[in-house]
Amino acid sequence: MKLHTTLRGKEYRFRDLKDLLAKANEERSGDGLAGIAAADMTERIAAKSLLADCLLSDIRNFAPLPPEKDEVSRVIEEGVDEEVYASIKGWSVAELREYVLRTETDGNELLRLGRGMTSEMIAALCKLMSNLDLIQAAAKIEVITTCRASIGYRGTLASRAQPNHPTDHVVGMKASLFEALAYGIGDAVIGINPVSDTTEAIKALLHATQEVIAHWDIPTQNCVLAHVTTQMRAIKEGAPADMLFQSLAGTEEGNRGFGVDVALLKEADALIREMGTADGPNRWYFETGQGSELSSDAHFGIDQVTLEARCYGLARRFNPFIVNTVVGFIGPEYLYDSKQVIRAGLEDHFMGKMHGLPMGVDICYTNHMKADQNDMELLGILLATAGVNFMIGVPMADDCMLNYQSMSYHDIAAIRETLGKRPAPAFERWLEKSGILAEGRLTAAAGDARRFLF
Amino acid sequence: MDEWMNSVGIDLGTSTTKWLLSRLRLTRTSGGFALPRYEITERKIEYASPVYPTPLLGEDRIDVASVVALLEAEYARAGLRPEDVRTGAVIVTGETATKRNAEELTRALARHAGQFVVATAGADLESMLAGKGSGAFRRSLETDGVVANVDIGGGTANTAYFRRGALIATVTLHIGGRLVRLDERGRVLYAAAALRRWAAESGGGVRLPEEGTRTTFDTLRQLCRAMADILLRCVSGEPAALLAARPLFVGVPANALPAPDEIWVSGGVGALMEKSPPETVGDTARHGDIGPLLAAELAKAADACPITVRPSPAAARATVIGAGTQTTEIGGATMYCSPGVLPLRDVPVVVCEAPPEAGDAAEDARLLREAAAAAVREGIAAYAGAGGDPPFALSLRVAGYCSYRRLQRLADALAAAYGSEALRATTPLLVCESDMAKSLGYALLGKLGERQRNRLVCLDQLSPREGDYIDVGEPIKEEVVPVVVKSLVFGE
Amino acid sequence: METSGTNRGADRFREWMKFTPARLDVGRTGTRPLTTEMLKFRLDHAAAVDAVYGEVREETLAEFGLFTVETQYRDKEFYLKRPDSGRVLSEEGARDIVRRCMRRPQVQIVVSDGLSAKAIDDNLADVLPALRDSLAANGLTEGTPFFVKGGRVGVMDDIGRLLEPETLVLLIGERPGLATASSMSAYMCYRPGPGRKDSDRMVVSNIHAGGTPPTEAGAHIGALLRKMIEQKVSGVRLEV
Repeated sequence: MKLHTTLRGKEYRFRDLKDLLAKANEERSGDGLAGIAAADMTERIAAKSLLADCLLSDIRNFAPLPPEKDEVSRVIEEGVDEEVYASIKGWSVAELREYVLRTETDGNELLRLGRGMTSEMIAALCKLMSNLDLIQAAAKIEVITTCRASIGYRGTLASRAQPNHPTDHVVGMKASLFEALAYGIGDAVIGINPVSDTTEAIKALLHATQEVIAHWDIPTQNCVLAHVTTQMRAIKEGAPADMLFQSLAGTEEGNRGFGVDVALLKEADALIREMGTADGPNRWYFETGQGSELSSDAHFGIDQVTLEARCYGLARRFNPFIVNTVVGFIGPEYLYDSKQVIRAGLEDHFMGKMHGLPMGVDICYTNHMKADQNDMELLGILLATAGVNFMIGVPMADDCMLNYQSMSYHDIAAIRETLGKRPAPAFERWLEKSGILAEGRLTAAAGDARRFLF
Repeated sequence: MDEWMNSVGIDLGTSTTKWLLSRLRLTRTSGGFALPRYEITERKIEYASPVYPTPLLGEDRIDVASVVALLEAEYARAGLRPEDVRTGAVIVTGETATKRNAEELTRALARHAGQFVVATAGADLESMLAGKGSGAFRRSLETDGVVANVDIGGGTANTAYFRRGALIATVTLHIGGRLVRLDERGRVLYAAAALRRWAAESGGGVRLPEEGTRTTFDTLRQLCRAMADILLRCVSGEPAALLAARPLFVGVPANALPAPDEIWVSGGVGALMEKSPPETVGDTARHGDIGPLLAAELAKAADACPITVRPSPAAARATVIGAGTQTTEIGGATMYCSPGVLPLRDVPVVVCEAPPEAGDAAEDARLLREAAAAAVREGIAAYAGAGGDPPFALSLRVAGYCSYRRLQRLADALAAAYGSEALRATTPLLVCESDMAKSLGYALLGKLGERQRNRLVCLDQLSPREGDYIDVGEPIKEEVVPVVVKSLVFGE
Repeated sequence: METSGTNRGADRFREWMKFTPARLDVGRTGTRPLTTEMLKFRLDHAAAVDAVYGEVREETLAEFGLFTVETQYRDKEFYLKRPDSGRVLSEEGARDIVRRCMRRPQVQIVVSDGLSAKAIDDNLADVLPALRDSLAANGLTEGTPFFVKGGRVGVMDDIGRLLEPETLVLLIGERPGLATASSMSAYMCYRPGPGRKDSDRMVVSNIHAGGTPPTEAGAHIGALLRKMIEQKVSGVRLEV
C-alpha cells in the first residue's frame, strides 16, 4: 500500500490507511471538526489517487479498527463471503469502481460483490465515485424486503409516514397520520419518534397505530422509535409491534453511547421474531447518519463516511426491513451546507445498497445549516433516480416534534408523479381501493384526511 | 418516579350506598427540559364494596351511626386506614341530599374519608360524575355525536350530555325506582309528590294509584311505561315531552336539550334493565318498590327508541366510580405555598377576570387595580361574614401573554386589594388559570403585609368557576397538590 | 338538524387538529402545496435563519447592565462549524471577567446569543427580573452578570474555571425551529468547571411567549438553584 505521492511537483504523505480514507473524502465540516480533513483540494485528490491504487486486500489487512478491538469490526469480518472476497481481493479500488460502473455489471452482480466486501472497502469505493457515479450504480440494485408488506421493487418509491407529536398526543398523531395516508404516504412504515421513553407511552402509540392499520386494512407496518429496550418491554407487555427500531453507530463505543451492543441486538432480534406482529422475515428498522460517532467521541480518528459504512456492515447482520440514513439532522458542524448534505445522501444510499440493505433516506436539514427546502427537493429527485427504497414524509416538511425539516407528503407525491414511481404494490392497490390514487396519480379525493376518520 | 394516591368515593343514594377505593397514578407529564407538570394518568379501581341498602331512620333521616359502622367494616375489609386516603369525594345523592341530617352525616364521615374527603351533592355534579363513571364521557371522546348518560336510581334520573369530552348540559327528573313503594301484595305505601303532580297535570294520561290502596300489576306497568317513555323522550330533547314533564323537573324545567346520538343508562335501575322482567306484583315488589318494573319498561322503551340506548357496563356503580376517580385535579406543579397553610377545605371561589392589557402601562395598572378591587369587594361581601379562612379563593384569569412588567402591575393590584381591613388577617388563596403561580407568588412576597406574606398560597392551571368550592390538599410531593373543585356545573 | 357524514367528519378533523401543531389540512394544487401555505413555511424558515445570523441588540444588554465578552468563535461560519470554539472564552474575554466580576458568587448569571440572538432580545426582559425575584425569595445572592457573544453551553465550564461560582445559570438562544425563532434555554450547573458532563447540568428549554412562560421559568430556575446549593449537586443526581 503506497502512502505518498507527488502531484504537480508537490509531495503528499499520509500516515496510514485511516488517514488516506479521511483525506480522500469530499469536503465536509465533520472531518474538519475531527481534525482529519485534507488541507486543500489537491491533497484531497492526492489521497484519492493513492486510494485508487490500494488493493482490496490492503484495506482488509490494514483495517482502521481491528476486529480484536471492536465488536462492530468483528461482525463485519464475520459477514464477509470469503469465496467472493477471494475472487476480488487482488483488485485495486480503481478497478473495482470501473467494474461497478460497467454496463454489463448488473444489480445482482453488485449485490454479489458487496457480500465479499468489508464496509471499509465499500467506503473506499464510494470516495472514488462522483455524484452521478453513485446514482447510476445504486440504481442498478434492487433490494426487496418483507415485514408485513413488501417494499423495494424497482420502479417504486415507498415512504415512511412520520406523524410525530410534541407530547405524543395520540389524537394529534392520528390527525397527522390520516393526512399522510390521504397523500399516499406510509407504505414503508408508520413510524413515530416518541418524546417520552416510558413503556406506557410506547404501548399507547403502538396500539393506536396498529388500530388504524387494522381498521383500514392497510398493507403496511408500524414502529415506535423508542430505545430498543423500551420497545422490548412494551412488546412483552402485549403491545403490537411489527418491527423493532434502533439507531446504530459504526463502532462498539458509539453503540454503547446509544445504550446497545451486539448481544442486546441479538436478544431483541429473538424477541421480535417470537412476539412481533408481522409475518415477514425482515423485522428491523435501523437508523444511521454520518457524524454520530464523532458527536459521541467514539470515532477513533476514522472519517464519518467510513464509519457510516460500518453501520451498514452491522445492520446487514440483522436482515432489516428498512435502513434509514438521517442525512441532514446532525447539524452544520458535520455537514455544513446543502452541497455536503446532497453528497452525503448519495454516498449513504449507495454504500447501504452495496451492503444489500433496503436503504431509505431522511432528506432533511436543520435551521442552522446552509440549506433550504429547495435543496431537499433536488436531493429527493436525485435519490429517487438512484432508486432509494423510501423517504421520510412529514406534514408540510415541518416536523413539529424533532424541529427539523424533511420531505413533505406533497414532495413525495410530486416525486412519484414526476419520475413515474409507484408506491409499494400492495399499498398502491389499497390506495386505489381507497380512492386516493388512480393510475399512479392522486385523485380528486386525495389530500383530504377526513376520509380516514373512524 | 410515578406516585400513586388513594382516592375514596362514597355514594350515599336514596336507596343504596356503596363505596369504592381507587388508586390514581400521578405522572410527570412534562419532559425533563420543561417546567414540571403532573397529571393523573391512570385510575385503577382497587376495591368496590357491595351495594348496601342506605340505612335510614324513618322516612327522611339517614342512620348516621349505621353508615359509619358500615364504612368501618368496609375499610377493614379492604385493609385501608383512614390516614392512607389522600383524596376523594362523598356524594350524597338524589333525594338523600335533602334529608334533614345530611350535614351531620358529612361531619361524621370526615374521619373515614381520610385527610381530605369532602361531602357534596347537587344534581348537576351528580349527573356529571355518573356520566364520567359510566363510560359515556369516554365514549364521547371516540365519537362525533352527543352522548347522554342517564343515571336512574331510587329518586331521580340524572342526565349529563357530553360532546367530545365536554359536558354540554345536564338535566334531572324525578323519575326513579323508589318513587312508588309497595308491599308484596301490591299495596302502595308511598308515592312521591312530584309523581302525583305529574299525574294530576296529565289530564288522565298517567294513572297513579293512591297511597294506601292496593294496585294491580297492569296499573303499575302502565305507570312505569309512562315514566320510561317520558324519560327517554325528555332526554332525547323532544319539546312536547319537556313541556309535559314540567312537574318532574328537579330545579328549573328545561325548554330545550341537546339531541343525543347515543343514550347510556346507569344507576340502580339501569343495572336492572338486563334482568328478566317481573310478571306479577309480588315479583315487582321484591325490593319494596317499582324499580324492577321500571327497568323492564325502560328496556322496552329503549328498544323502540330511534336513538341507540345502551346500559352502561358499570351501571350500578357509575356515580361512585365517578366520585372516587374523577373529582381530583392536580394544581400546576410550579406554585408558591407558604409552609403550614395546607390543607384548606371548602373555600368558595370568586372569579377575577383581568382586563385585556392596555397599551399604556399606567392605564393597565389602573384597570388591573379596579378589577382586583371589585372581585375582592365581591368576595368580602359574599363570604367574609362567615368567618372562614380563607374567606374565599380568587380565581385569576389573565388572557394572553403576561410579561414581567404586567405581572408586577397585577401583583400590585392584588396586594392593594388584599390590603383591605376585612382581609388583613386572612390567607390569600390565588388560583391562576395560566402557568404563572410561582412568579406571581414571588412578586407578591414583596408587596403583601407580613401576615399575608406568611400564609400565601398561589396555584395555577386550574380554572374553578364563580360559586364553586375548592379543597386544596397537602402536597403529595414538593410542589404537587391535589385539588378538588366542587362545581355547581351550571350556575343557578 | 341533520348533518351529512362528511360535514361531521370535517368538524371532527378540525377538532383533532387542535391537538397538534402539525401543518395539516393544507390542501394542494396537483401534488404541490398551495401558495399561501408554501409562503408561510418559507417565512417561518426565513425567520429561523435570520435568528441564527442575527445579533443581540445593544439596548437589551444595556437595560440589564451586561458587559460583553467573546468566545473564540471568530465568525458565524466558524461558530457553526466548530462548536468547540464557542466553549472557550477569548483571552481578552477571560481577562475581562476575571477583572470585572465578583469571584465565587453563590449564583453567576450569564447570557449568551447561542443559536438565536432573537431569543435573548425577546425573552431576557421577562426571564431575568423574574429570576432575580426568585433568587431573593430563595435567599440567594448573585455575582456580576455578563453577556457572552458566540457562546455554547460548554462555555459554562470555562467561566466556572475562572470565577468558581457555586452555581451558574446560562440563558442562551436555542436552535430556532419553524414554530418559533425566539426560544431560549436556561442551563444550570453546580460548581461548573473543566470535566463537567451533560449529565451534571440541568436545563429548562423552550422558554418563549408561546412555550414555557418566561416569568414562570425565571421563578422556577431560582428554586432549582436553591436545591442545587442545598444538595451540593446538579444534573441527574439532584432530587427535585
